Amino acid sequence: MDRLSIVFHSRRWLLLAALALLSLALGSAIFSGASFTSKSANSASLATASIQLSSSAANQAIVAASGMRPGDTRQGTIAIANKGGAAGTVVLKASGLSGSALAAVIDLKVEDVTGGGAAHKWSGKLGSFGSVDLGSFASGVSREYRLTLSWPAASNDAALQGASTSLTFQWHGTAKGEGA
Amino acid sequence: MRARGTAGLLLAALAACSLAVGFSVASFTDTTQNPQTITAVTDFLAPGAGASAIGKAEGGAAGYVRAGGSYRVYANVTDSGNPSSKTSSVKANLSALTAGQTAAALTSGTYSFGGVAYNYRSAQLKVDSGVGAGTKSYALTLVDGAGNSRVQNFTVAVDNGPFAGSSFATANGSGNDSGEPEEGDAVAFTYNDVPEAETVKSGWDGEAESVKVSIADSSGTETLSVSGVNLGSVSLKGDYVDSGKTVSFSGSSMTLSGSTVTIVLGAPSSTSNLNDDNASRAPVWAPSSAADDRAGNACSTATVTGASTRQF
Repeated sequence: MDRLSIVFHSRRWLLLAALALLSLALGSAIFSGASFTSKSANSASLATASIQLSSSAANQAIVAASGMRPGDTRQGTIAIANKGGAAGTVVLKASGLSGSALAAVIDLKVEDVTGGGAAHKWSGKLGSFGSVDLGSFASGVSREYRLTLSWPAASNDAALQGASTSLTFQWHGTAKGEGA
Repeated sequence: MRARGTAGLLLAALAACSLAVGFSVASFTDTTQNPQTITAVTDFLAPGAGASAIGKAEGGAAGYVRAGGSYRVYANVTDSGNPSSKTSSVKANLSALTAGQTAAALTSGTYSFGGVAYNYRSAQLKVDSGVGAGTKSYALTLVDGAGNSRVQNFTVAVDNGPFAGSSFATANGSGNDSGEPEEGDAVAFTYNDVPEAETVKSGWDGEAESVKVSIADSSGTETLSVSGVNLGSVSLKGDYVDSGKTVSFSGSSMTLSGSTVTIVLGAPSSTSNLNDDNASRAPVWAPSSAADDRAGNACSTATVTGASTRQF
């Protein structure tokens, strides 16, 4: 290969590399412009700069609440940690509620019991729960939450026998904008 | 020149890439979730007794017994649920009536007492002889298959009598001649307590019932009686029918209101044999012991004298 050919091929590879980098940059910029949602499979390089929630009971019921009756109280705890490299805020949300008759009767209480305390976060009828801001989670912080489900003894309507209600609790973390 | 342009493009690309990565950490979110289901047991309510009554063994009105009388406890018990675990036991504490009967079992079935249907009944029991009159409480303990239980309280009246007639009177019907028994006139037998209609006339519930009243000559002290009815007889102490004659009033209407049995006379079998007796007379009623009060106390046969006045 003569010198001219080497120079020609080097420039072509440089051009291709430059175009590839530009495409990557554009793609990243486009996607990062939206609120980026990731699961626990975030790449190590991104995790160090984002919020990444870890749950002690992911995709499991927090409270064992089958076979309840008026007068019953059931509790469950769950640890939520920020394994990401960035601080962020966490909001507990409810979605997909079904079985409104029973949900209108059951009382829900959300407490932060990290370190043995019991800081009240939210309480009310399960059916009226929408969301609660759990505050800031620094990188590496883990907190424990206790959810209490109570069925008032006086709410013993016969129509609730055999009833059920379902919903999904979502722990939603958002990293604080560092460069935005 | 061309190499310089390519190098510039490369630098621009690297800068853009760095900027993009910088923005990508600005609003990063993550979510973890927990599905939660709450279920209620299918039966958390104890059975309930919509009705319960104590009925004397002789039948009739519910809710009255007497010392020494026999009775059963009736109850209408249902258990709710989705599905119901079903009623598993019904027991009655009847110690206020019968010593030792603190958990008398009621058995399921189809029963009726006092015109009311029940689905549980006790065995026949007896009120202790020393039980005094008054309202007594008894309790039903109801349990279902899921273990839900409830205690419900009810009452029963203990009435030990005595049951007796208290007055007799006649009344002149509208537009009728006073002193002569005629269609539309009435006779009223009043007791000191509500009589058990069934014992006054078999099958009678106290509503209007057609009966036959007879007035028979008895030498000027005629006797009034009612066929097939346990009201006894009345010596009218007056001359209302011809000598040796009996006048009957078929189609007379008998009703019970409170403690008074009233009979409005129907058409007489003969008007020509009826007499006017315009003198004041004090009829004497001799009640029948076959009539009972609601607790089953037999009526005293002691006579009752009506007011001295012109009758009918």
